[in-house]
Amino acid sequence: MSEYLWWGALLRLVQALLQAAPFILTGLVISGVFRRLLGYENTRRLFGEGTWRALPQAWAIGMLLPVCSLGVIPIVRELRKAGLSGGTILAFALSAPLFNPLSLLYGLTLSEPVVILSFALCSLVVITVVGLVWDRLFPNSAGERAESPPVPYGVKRLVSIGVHGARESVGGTALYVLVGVLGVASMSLYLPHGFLQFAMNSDNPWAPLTMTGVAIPAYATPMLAMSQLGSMFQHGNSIGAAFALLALGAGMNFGLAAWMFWNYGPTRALAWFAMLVLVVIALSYGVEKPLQTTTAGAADHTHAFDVYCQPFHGEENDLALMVWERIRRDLQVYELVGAGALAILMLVGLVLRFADPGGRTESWLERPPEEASPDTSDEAPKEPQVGRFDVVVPPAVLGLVSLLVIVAVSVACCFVYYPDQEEVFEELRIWHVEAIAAANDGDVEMAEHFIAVSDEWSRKLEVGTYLREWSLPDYHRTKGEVFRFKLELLRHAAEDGHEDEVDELRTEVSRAYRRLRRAYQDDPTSGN
Amino acid sequence: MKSILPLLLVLLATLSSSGCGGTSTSAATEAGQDEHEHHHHHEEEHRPRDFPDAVGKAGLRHRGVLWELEHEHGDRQEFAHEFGEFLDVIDWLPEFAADSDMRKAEWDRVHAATARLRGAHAVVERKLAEGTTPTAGDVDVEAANAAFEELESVRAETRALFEKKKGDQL
Repeated sequence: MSEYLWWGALLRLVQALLQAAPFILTGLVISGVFRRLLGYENTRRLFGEGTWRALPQAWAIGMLLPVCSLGVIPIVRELRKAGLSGGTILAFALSAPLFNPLSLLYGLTLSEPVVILSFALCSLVVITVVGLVWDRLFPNSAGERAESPPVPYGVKRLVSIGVHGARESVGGTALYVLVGVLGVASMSLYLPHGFLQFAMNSDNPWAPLTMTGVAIPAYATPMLAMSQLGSMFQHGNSIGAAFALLALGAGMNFGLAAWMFWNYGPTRALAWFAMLVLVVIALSYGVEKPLQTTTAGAADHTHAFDVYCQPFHGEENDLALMVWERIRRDLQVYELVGAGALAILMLVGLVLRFADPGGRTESWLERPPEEASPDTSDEAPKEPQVGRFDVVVPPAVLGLVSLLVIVAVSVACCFVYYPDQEEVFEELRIWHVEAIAAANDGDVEMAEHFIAVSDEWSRKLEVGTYLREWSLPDYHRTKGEVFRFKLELLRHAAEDGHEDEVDELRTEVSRAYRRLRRAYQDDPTSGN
Repeated sequence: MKSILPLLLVLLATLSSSGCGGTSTSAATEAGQDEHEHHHHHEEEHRPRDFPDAVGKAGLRHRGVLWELEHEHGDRQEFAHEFGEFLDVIDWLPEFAADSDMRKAEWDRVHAATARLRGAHAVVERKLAEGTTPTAGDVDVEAANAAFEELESVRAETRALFEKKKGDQL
């Protein structure tokens, strides 16, 4: 097989790992909270196990927790140990990666927020129907209830979560994550460069089916899936395919599928899978017409799904350098921080795995505090273990608070991820100039990259405004659409090598940027 | 520990058989083309040049639609196509207005007039979608005229912006 295919697969694998790192880390923390703080009994109660609320409750909890389809793996492993039914766990596994506060906000500011809300409701239908039928077909799917011995209050509780995360990061979770990213890498071996550019047009009746086939092995973070949906709306692509992308691309991957097969056996896993695919396909074709956005003037292709295909044409030289350059170029700060923290956790996990295979560390953490030595003084009463005003918080309360804090932090992160207007315009100024310069130099790859970055910042401008003011006037939204439209034209002109068009569009992009900026300066959004 | 690789292979096989068969040939052919042709918004023949042009063309098409409806159009498909293009032009009005130095107050007027214009032709649009024959009475002529008056008024007030733009291009 050609060398470039392997380099392409390696690039996709590393990109997926880097994107997933912060979410895997979050998933490890959440699974540790379930195990060490909340405890299995309270976890079952949290999920409404054994009641009619179990499935919608799993969906709602999944919508709040900021994890992706790889980050959900350590959590579902813990839920299985807690003895939750298969339907509830799978409902959570599928819904948790679809939305989080960051991506939902992004989705609501797209031109068709009603579509996003409909998708969210459709996902509830999917997990409810599949979960109910599956639980009916295969009752008693809950695993044997394990018990997690309590850890005494204090630093030991926190350390125990870290130890759990460290062991998991090099244990079963690592194996399934590896299967998941190998699935992503394998896609680049059989999907040639740009293979999906024309496959998702709204007039293509096969688009939802094609997307279903592509989306299962694909890995998309909630944000990536949401930005791809935005691109699909902009290009007037198939809405059914967009739903399949969200439900299966963001919700499923090979790692999660492997976990299901391992834990529930091939028959049950295949049955769940078949039902899921059937319901998703049925809903995809069901929403295709009612939710179809306007296709007036739609372009006939999209680059949104290039990330699932082979990144190279096969004509490139020095592929190792190109892989490195692309990783460096696309790497986000939060991915770097996440990957660094995960690497440290894995290192600790490896040390524990080899130095303490028997779990002596856990035994020490679980050991109750020794009785205080009897006081020899006649007058002084026995010193309490805690200060007079200290309160020993029960682990379940702490666990619940921890989960709420994780949700609150993810909401707070929205303000960092979507900065205020001034900061966005500073970024946008730099990146759109870079895009113009690259297009002018005929550097298509760099032009595409900077145009994508500029596009993203213009969307952040809108989400950031919406986040702070809870509204975005149509005037400002349309200015952003015009700016992105001009950027897209510039990209196509650069790709087609039309120098005259590039020359003309340089001016148009600059003008659209100035107008966008003036719109926010002269007609402030806060004045509405 | 059992190997999970066979499971992965089963999945891969399942997916391959149900995967991208539907469009693989056409997609592969198209993606493989060195010089594939793109069709973009700006290449559509009925797309106006700018906002003043769009207002003019929307007015002309509106009159054409009314004439067709009053004189019992013969070819419904042809009429539906023309009507679809007319709606495109209406939908482009706010976009063209935003692609200028027009301030928010004027743009909001354009936006509102566009919505009114859309509403005035909603019954015709619905009937065409249902496959029934629309009549001239299905157009809310009064609302459409009021919308056009507003659009003409904005066009006149902002004429200088577009003349300046043409000057810039020269």
